[in-house]
Amino acid sequence: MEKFKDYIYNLLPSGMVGVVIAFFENIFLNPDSNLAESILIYFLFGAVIGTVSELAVSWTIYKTSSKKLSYLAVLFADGISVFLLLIVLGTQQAYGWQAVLTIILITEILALSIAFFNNKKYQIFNQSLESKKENLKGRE
Amino acid sequence: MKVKLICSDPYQLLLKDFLEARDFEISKQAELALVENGEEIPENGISIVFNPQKIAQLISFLENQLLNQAAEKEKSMQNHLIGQLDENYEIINYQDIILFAAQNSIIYALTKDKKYRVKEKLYQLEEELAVEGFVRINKSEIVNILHIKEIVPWFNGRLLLKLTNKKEVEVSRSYAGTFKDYLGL
Repeated sequence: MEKFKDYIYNLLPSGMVGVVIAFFENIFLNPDSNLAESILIYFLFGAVIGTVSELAVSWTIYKTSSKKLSYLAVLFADGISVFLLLIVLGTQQAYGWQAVLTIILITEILALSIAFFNNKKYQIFNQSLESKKENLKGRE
Repeated sequence: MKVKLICSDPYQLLLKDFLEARDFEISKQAELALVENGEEIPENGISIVFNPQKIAQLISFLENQLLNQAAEKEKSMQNHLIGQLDENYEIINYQDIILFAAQNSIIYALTKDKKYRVKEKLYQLEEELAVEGFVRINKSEIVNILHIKEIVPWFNGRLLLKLTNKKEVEVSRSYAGTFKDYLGL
């Protein structure tokens, strides 16, 4: 139950980015759009991109400790998951394949940014760990 | 410890009082000798030659050495705790402990290849051993920083720690902040 709660807490910030984008679209780009529907769809996209990126980076770092592989994993995992989501939502039928490709491209940029910050976090954590260990060893 | 004094009477009396008050034994067979400058230095053993005009410096030097020895002894006495392994009790050095874990209200200290039962409570160990590099990572575990090989940012704000014994433990979301603070982040 605790882990499920943690999962929801983690999912919310990613999903909220989608909500902001939905409002942006409704106010500045397409005032005729259905706001409730946009919020739901963009929330779903945000949550998928955020969660899949985090899972892909953490898992690759855990298994290989390789940053390069984590970028590849995030590109692959986000690309596939958003593509499947777009197919399920029927985006290619409504707006054509160009829209699908554009959304995937934006997804990949967002996913790479998330991977970059996760990798930075990984590097900082381990640098701090080594410096703390050195301090403790020096004291002995 | 035995000490041999090779010096004139006034210094003999002074040094004898000083050393005997600190559990030293004055003996002619001692390996360590305090020799007044000008007296014959023994061929065997270790000799400290002192100038009578600098007797105060000699006493201060000896005092510092003795104090350091006492501090070292005290420190080495504090660097361990007692753990129960089956029916036996063993001394476990802090540096050998990888993790403390609570299981069914019993606290265990895990080393590379042994699992000891300890009488201290987890909250006591957390408080007392923070300076030794131990940090709480979840409700039931305290880890020794020196035995963490790698930190992996894990899902949902948690952290995964790879330990030197090839085991893995998780820093829960609620303890992740304290853990990061401990690392100075």
